[in-house]
Amino acid sequence: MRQGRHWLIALLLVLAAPSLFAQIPPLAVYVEGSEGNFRRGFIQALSADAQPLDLVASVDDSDMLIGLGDEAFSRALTHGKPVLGVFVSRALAEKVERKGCHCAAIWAGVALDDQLAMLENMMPLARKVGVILGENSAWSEGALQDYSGRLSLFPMVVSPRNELGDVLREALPDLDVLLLPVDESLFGPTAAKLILLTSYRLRRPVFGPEQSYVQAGSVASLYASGGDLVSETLVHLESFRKRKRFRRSGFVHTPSVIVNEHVAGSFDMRYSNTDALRDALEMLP
Amino acid sequence: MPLAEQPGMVLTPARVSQPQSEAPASVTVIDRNLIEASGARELYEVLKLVPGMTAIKVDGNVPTVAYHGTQARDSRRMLVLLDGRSQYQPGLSRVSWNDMPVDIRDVERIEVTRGPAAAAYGANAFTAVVNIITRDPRDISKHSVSVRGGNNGILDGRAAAVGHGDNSAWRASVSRRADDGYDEPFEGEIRPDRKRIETLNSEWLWEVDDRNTFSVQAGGSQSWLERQQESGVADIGNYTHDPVQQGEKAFLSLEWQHVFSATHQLKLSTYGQYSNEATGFGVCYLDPFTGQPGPGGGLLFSRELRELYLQNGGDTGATFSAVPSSAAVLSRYGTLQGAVGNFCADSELDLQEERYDLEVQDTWQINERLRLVSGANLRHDRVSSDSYLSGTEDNLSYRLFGNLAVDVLSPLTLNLGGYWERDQISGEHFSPRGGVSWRVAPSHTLRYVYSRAVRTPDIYEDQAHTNIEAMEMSQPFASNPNGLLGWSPAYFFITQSSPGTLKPEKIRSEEVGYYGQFRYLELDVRYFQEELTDLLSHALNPFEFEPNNEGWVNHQGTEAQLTFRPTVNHLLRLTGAHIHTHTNKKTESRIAARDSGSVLWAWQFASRWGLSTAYYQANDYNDYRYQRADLQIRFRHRAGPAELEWRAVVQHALNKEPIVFEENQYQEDRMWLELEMKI
Repeated sequence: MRQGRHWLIALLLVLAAPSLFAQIPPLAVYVEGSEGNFRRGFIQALSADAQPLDLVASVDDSDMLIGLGDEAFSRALTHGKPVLGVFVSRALAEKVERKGCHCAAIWAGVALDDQLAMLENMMPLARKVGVILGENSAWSEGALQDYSGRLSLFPMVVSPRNELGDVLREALPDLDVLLLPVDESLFGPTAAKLILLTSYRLRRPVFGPEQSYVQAGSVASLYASGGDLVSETLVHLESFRKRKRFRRSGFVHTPSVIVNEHVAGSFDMRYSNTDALRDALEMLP
Repeated sequence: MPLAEQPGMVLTPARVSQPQSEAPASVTVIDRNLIEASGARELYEVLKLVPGMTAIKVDGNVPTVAYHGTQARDSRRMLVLLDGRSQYQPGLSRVSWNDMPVDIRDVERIEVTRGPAAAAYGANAFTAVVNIITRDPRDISKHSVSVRGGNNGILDGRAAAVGHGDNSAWRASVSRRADDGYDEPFEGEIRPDRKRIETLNSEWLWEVDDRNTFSVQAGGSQSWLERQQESGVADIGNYTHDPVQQGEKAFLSLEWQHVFSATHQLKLSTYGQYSNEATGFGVCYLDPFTGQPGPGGGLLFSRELRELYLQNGGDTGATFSAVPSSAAVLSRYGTLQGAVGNFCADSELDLQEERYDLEVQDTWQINERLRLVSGANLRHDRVSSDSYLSGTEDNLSYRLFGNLAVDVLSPLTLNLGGYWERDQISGEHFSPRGGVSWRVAPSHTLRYVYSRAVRTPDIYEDQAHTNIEAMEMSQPFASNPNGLLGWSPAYFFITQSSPGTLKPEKIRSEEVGYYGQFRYLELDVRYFQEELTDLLSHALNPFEFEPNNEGWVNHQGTEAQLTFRPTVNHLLRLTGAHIHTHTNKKTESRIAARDSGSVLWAWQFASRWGLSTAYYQANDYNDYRYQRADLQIRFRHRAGPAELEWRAVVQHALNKEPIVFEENQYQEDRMWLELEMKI
């Protein structure tokens, strides 16, 4: 019996020998996206990493494509090669995945639980959290139902978009705070003005969805910075290079944090500085 | 984001939106959720939730609301603002809670600045400022209709409409409320204290562009209140009909806000408001010699008795002592004896008050550490009254104010404020305030505030010249007043005149406070010392009139308010006050309760069902302990396109003691059912 087991181990070693000793070739990647600072910076950051990557200039030379944003992601999918979407709306990514694409995506936005952890940390008295949801929001009603923390989440579904004002007027008085997911189609500049002014007239703070809102007057947000997206992309690429298949789609795992200190101070929130907040969030399970 | 639109928890203490921890005062915020949880049907009732505040009905259907209460009836030491308009009336220094032109459902939030705030609002922001803020039409989405009916004659209704344009929004509401006042009967008698009040409140708001916002508010009220018989009158006659007070109010307010930049803005506001009030009553006067009804009662309205009264320095006792030796009075009495029938007459206490106010306020965030709120105000008050003033009196006042917030070091904020004013009655005054807030840790702040304020004598206190006219006299007096009474029109012999030398009342206040937030609760604690001096403590009515500044009151004590939210469905709110009051006038401590407090618990026990209960206690008001418990159950459901909400409320007195005075009996439960439909 013991002798039989030795034979089996020897056989496995022989079979595995080519992959153990062969060098994995660099991954040839083409980055699809509209020309601009973000694409240039993104490519630069990828090139600077020590990972064996070959950033090629044409789709034909590539093993796989990276699509930056919804449009580029959709375009990249048409080439019939594996595609990693970066900063892609969750709805779009899930739609094409359901159709069986050879793709994955780093969704635009951050995880609901992460935003709620920050909110809870800064506003310990808050209990009722309204979450505005549109058709392309990073979170779905199902994600809200899956939440198991101590906050109560109230979905505020906005469809069509011009009902945003009514939804706010109706729901805000019963809420303590408003949380916004990333949703490029819903939260444009006009909506930002409406949301922020309505909320603050009623003394309800707004969290999320990303840094431009915080600069406009939202209290704080976790967000996927360029650096966060590059780091997450490298993790996906390394995985793909080694295993020839994608990791599961998802949000960035280590988002950045931005706080509008003036607004946080106006609401007497528990906040001293960004580093302390980041540390507190990292301590959370 | 412009300064006016920036978030902030309170905007009253320093006239600018700011975090509660940095405000130079203790502040109690009662928002719409809390108002609804309280179950209150009248606005003044929710102020029971403010620590140290007295909010009770002292005269049947007339509420008295006072912070660190002193006198029971003449509560004239607190400023009340309704959307920035002073409700402190110039004629008799009153705040008329009954016919304030707003319904409780129109209110978005109430901010109560506890402690003097004359540095921000000028004279009469003496012990506190109650700032009532109505709902912004941009934040209302549905029309609504509600009806409410209950025991004790409770019958209320309200209809409200709202509309939104591209850059504008409006709202309007009409409401009516009525009840029968006290328990009936009291000592076998029906007490006259029913009331009926109708209000109109509306606003139109126009966002002209990103930099300019313009708003118009208009409204008014009509009131009909039965009033108690005046004991001074009841001693000398028999009422033929009880006093009835009828009033009407109207206001128009315009406001323009201009944003220069994200750190600098200007607000220009102006308003005019008008109030007309008359209390009519009918009396058959007793013959002063026989004590029985008869024509001799006319002597009280005779020219000769008036002259004798004036010759005796306005001393009623001395006047009657001198009657037997006054040939003129005796002759008049003889003439009256020749008439047939009782002397009966109707009289009226009338008062028309007008106020025109223009104010400009500039708010400027100079840099990250420095913010300045400054402005100027011009106000014209006019009061007309035949009975109180025998004519019309005006008061023109000019004001300048400034409040500077300095972020000295990161955890330390310094607030300096001052208000200079000059008016025709009281001359010049300056009210300063200084406060330091020290943020000892995130969400935990200590503060120290020193402030001084004045309450200037009102137009009546300064210019009183009372004359109660006999109108609608019985025959034969009506057809021959000159022959029978010696003059026409005929006036009651007692007349009161103010010396015009009264000084403003003063207050000096110091407080040490703490404001903090913990995981489940919010806590505000305040220790204070207040010295009130030069008080006009004595009665100043047409029957009793002792004008002097001899009163003083010292308050020292501690207050706390705590909000506890253990879970999403529960809210517990506690308030408490312990106050030591020392005074040289007993009347100044009538509603100064040594210990008072409230507990409110709201529980959303199902998605459509909510329950809230409240308990209020005060030991004591004029030696009577006050204890009441309220219970409210709410149920919401949809009916087609409409949303319906049912509310059942019971207010239960937990003891059998009256409120302040023995005739104020409210032991019977008050209960009502309400239905509101929104569509």
